[in-house]
Amino acid sequence: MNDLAFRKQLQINPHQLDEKTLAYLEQYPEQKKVVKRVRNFDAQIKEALNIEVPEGLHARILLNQSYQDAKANSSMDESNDNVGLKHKGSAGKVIHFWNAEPTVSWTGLSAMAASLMIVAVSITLWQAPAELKQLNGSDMVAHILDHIAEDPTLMTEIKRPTTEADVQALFATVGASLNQPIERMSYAGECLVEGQKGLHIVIQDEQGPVTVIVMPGQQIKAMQSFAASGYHGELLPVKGGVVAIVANSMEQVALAQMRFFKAVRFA
Amino acid sequence: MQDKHRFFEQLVSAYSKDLYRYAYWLCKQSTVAEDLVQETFTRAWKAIDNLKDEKAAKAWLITILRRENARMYEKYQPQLLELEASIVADDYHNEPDEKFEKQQLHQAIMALPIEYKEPLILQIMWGYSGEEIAIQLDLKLATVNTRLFRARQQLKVLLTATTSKKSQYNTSFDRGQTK
Repeated sequence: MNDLAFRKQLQINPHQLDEKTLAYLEQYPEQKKVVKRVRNFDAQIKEALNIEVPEGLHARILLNQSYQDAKANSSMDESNDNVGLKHKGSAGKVIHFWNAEPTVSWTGLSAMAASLMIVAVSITLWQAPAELKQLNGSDMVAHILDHIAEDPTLMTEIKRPTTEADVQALFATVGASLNQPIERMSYAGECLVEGQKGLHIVIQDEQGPVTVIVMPGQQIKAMQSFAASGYHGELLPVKGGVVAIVANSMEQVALAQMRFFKAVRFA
Repeated sequence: MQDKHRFFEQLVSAYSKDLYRYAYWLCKQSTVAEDLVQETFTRAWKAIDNLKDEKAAKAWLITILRRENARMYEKYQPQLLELEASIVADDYHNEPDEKFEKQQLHQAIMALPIEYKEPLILQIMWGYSGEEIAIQLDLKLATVNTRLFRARQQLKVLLTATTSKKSQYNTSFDRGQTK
């Protein structure tokens, strides 16, 4: 190997040196500085290639996949059941009331989340029973945050019904059923929010625990996002009640929302 | 596959960021890059049952992304490079050297022809060997090696050109200050 071949080999891959190159380096140890220089240049290229990725990309991909899934399932349902079309039409109005987050990226995510809700959960507020009580959204948020603060140990406690029948029974108390286990659920139990019996769930996420509270008998007009007391969250209208999801970031909320509604159906 | 939802989530966690970066360097536009990644995963999800070997997922995703990029490229060709280059050029006398060098390298990679850029990304960012790049891009190993060699050479040439431009600018700026 001569100097030209050595330098060419380095430019092809400075990190994988073949036997000939190694032998050349042994013969001319002063050339190691050339190897070092080319490797440094590669490190610079690697750093330049490593551009910043938009925040929430991961969550948006998963929500999109859930949406596509739900849309496909919905199409199948619609072909068999005309009532499904009615639900979809009425739920579509909900989007107009959606309180979008101020950032552009989350607007898209939120819209997707809204679509997911529309299709997967079949929101039917207009069909809600007359006895459901209309609550102010901000009051509801305050109550939920107070409730979470009451017992912070629930965030880390692992306590949930052990059998599938017990889990189903628990969810049935709020008019819901599970078609599959909720991923990463560490806690599930009954709770009281301002005297109202509900369901309290904690989902463990890489960025920390996420609290989900189902409040039957409550009602809001549309999905609402909020940020308060260092938490981010959403209030989601479902048939016969409201689901609140509270976490440290909107990305966590979006992922938890996906995991929750992938598994839970409201009758 | 036991649980395809979970497997899909794992794929998204493992590869979405690097696929976004790959897409960005191919199409040179962040919004288009995200669309490409979304479309890649949408197609991947639809065909996930066809993925027999989980170890092949990485190469499979890159193949989908490249096809989507080719499809999108046929529809329109964004021309943002000159604008971005001019913005950097106007600013470089105010930038610290390190930041300037990174920006110049960014622009040099942008300007690199795609046939040189792709093997370089696969090698440096994805850790592919020459043989793996040859399979992924459907090229001969000798061709891959030539392109990797030329990619680094061209980057050096582009960087040398911009660095000497900066030094000329600084010299004339300093002369102007001392007058």
